[in-house]
Amino acid sequence: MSSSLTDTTLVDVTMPQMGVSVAEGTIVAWRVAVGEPIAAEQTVVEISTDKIDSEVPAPVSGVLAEILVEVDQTVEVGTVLGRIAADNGAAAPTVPDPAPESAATDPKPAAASPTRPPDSKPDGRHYSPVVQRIAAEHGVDLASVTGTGRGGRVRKQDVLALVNGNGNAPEPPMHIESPYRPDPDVPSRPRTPAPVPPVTSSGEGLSRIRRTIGQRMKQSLDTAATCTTWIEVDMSRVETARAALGVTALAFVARATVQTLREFPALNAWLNGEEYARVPDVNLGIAVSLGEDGLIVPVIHQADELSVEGLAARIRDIARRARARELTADEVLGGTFTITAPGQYGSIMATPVINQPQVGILDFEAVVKRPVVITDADGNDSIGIRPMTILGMSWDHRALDGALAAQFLAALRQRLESVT
Amino acid sequence: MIDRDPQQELWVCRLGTVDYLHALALQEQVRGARQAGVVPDTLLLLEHPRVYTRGRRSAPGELSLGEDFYRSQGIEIVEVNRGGKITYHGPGQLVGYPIVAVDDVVQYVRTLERALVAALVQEGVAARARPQDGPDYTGVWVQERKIASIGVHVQRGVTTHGFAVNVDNDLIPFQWVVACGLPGVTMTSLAAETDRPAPLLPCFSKRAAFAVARALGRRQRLISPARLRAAIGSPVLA
Repeated sequence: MSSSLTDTTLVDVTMPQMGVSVAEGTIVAWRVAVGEPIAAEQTVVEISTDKIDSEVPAPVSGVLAEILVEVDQTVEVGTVLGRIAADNGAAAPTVPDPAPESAATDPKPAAASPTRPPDSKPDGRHYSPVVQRIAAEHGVDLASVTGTGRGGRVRKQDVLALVNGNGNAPEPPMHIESPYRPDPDVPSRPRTPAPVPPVTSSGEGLSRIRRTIGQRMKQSLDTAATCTTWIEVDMSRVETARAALGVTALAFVARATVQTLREFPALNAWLNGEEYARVPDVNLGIAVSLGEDGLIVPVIHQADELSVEGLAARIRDIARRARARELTADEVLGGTFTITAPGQYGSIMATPVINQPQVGILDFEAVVKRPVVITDADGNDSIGIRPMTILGMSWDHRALDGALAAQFLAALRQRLESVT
Repeated sequence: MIDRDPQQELWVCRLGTVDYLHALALQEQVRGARQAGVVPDTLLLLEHPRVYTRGRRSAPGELSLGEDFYRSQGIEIVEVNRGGKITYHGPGQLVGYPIVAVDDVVQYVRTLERALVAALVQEGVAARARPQDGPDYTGVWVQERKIASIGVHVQRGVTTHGFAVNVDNDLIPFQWVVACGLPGVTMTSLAAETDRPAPLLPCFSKRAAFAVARALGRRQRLISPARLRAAIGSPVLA
C-alpha cells in the first residue's frame, strides 16, 4: 500500500453467503465492541442463517470502527454489518470474502492484489456480491463492463466472459464447491455485447407466494421423474349419488381415492432423495385456489377414517378457511397424496405437478356428457350418453412404474363406477 | 479453504457417556485440529447424562417448573454460548457431533437430515425431513412428531454441534420444557415408534454413523478415544 495513505482504511464486514439457497442472515452477537481491537481471521460477529449459527471472521486486523446492524436484525447476504478500521501498515484491505471459510489454512497470500475494493455504485449501478467478488478476484473494473442483464445490470456471466476472454488471467481462487465457478462450457461473449433494448416493465416483481410456488414446482419437476397417466371414468353413478347426498363429486373422488390408496399403499408414500417410506395414514391434500394469490394445499389428516359426507364437510371447511387465510400450520403439513380439481371451468385434462415428497397427485377435471360405447350384460354394444371425466395421475417414476399407476387408476375407476 | 482429506475418511469415535461441557470442550479441540488440518472430518458419537442446555435466546419461561424441580429429577441445567433455545439430552439419546469442513451449511444440514432419515427408515420408521416447512422444522420427524433435532455451529468453515436422535430415551423431560421454542411439538423416539424393547442404541448408533458417512461421501474409519486424543493432543478424554 502506498505510504501516502495515512488515513485509516475502513474495511467492510459483510453478511456472508452461507449456502446457495441462503438469502439473508440474522445477527446473533457481536464478539467485540466498537473501539475494541480485532485480529484478522478472529471472529468478529456471530450470525444465524436458517437457524444455523456461524462465526464471521474479521477480514483485516484493526479496530471495530462501527456496527451497522444490531443483534437480532435480519439482513440480506452482502449487507455491510460493520466496519473495521484497518491497522496502519497492515496488509491492504482484501475484499471481504463473502464466505467465512477463509481460514488460516487458506493458501491465499495475506498480501492483497492491488485491486481496489469494488465500489458498489461507482456509476450509479448496483452490483451483486457475486459479481463484486468475481470482479475483485480478477481485477476487473466493473464500471467498464457492459451489462446484459435487465436494465443493463451486470450479470455474473458478463464478468466471467470478460475474464475468460482474458487468456492470462490466473485461475480464480474460488471455493471449489462454489456454484459461481466459471464452468468451462460458459459460452464466451463478445466483450462489448450489443446494447440491450430497454425492457418495458410494469415494475411489478413476482409476489412472494408466486415465487414460492414457482420454486416448489420447479424443484418437483427437477427432482421427480414425473409421468402422467389418464383414465376415462363413467360418472353416472357418482352424479346420481352426489345429487342424493347433496355433496360434490369431488367428495366421492376423494373417498374412492383414499380407499384405493389403502389398496395400493405404494402410492401413499414419501420419497426423500433415495429414501422411500410408505405412510400408514392417508393424509389427503386438496389443492385450493386462492385466486390471484396463488394456491395452497390443506391436508385432511387420516382421511381414511372419513365417510363421503365427512370428507365433503372437511373439504368445504378447509377450502373456506384457506380462502379466509385461517389455516394453521399443521393443516398444510404431512400430506401423503394430493387431489387437484380445477375442472370447474370445463378443462378436461392436465398434467399436475407432484407435491413432493409425495409420489402421486390426482387431477380431477370437468365431468362432460359424451357419447360412449356401452356394453350390456349379454355383450351387446350400443351408444349412450354418459357423464364422463378423465382422471389424470402424475406419479414419480423413481418410486413406482407405469403398470402400478395404471392398476391404481383402474381400481379407482372401478370404485367410482360402482358407487351406490 | 480447508483441504478435504485425500483419503475421504470420516473418523468415527464412540465416546460413551460424556458430560455436556466436557463434550463441548472436546468438540472445540477437534475443531481446532480440523481447521489446522491435523485430523480429517470426524464424527463424535456419545450420550449425555440428563441435561437441559439453554442457548442465548432461551426465554425465561422455558424452565417453567423451577430449577429445583429439574435438579430433583437429576437433570443438570447448563447455559451454553450458542443461539437457539432450550433442549434436552439424556441417556438413550444418540448424540452425534460431526466436526467437518463445510461450504454450504444449509446443504450440510439437509445432508444430516437425509442421513438420519435413511437410518430411521432402515429401522422401519417412516421418518421425514421437512425443509419446505422452514428452519423451525429443521430436524427429523415422524408425521408431526419430532424424533431428531439438529443444531449446527460453524467457525471458519468447520462445524460443531450436530444431531440428537431419540432412540430409547425417556421422553418425559421434553414435556417439562418448551423444547426448541416450538410449543406443542410432540417428541417421539425410535422405541416409541417401533414398540421394540431397549437397548436399541448400540445398533442404531452404527446405522447412523454409516448413514452420515455415506451422506457426506466419506468412508468410515473407527477411531478409539485414545487415538483421537493422541491426534489432537488433548487430555480431555482422560
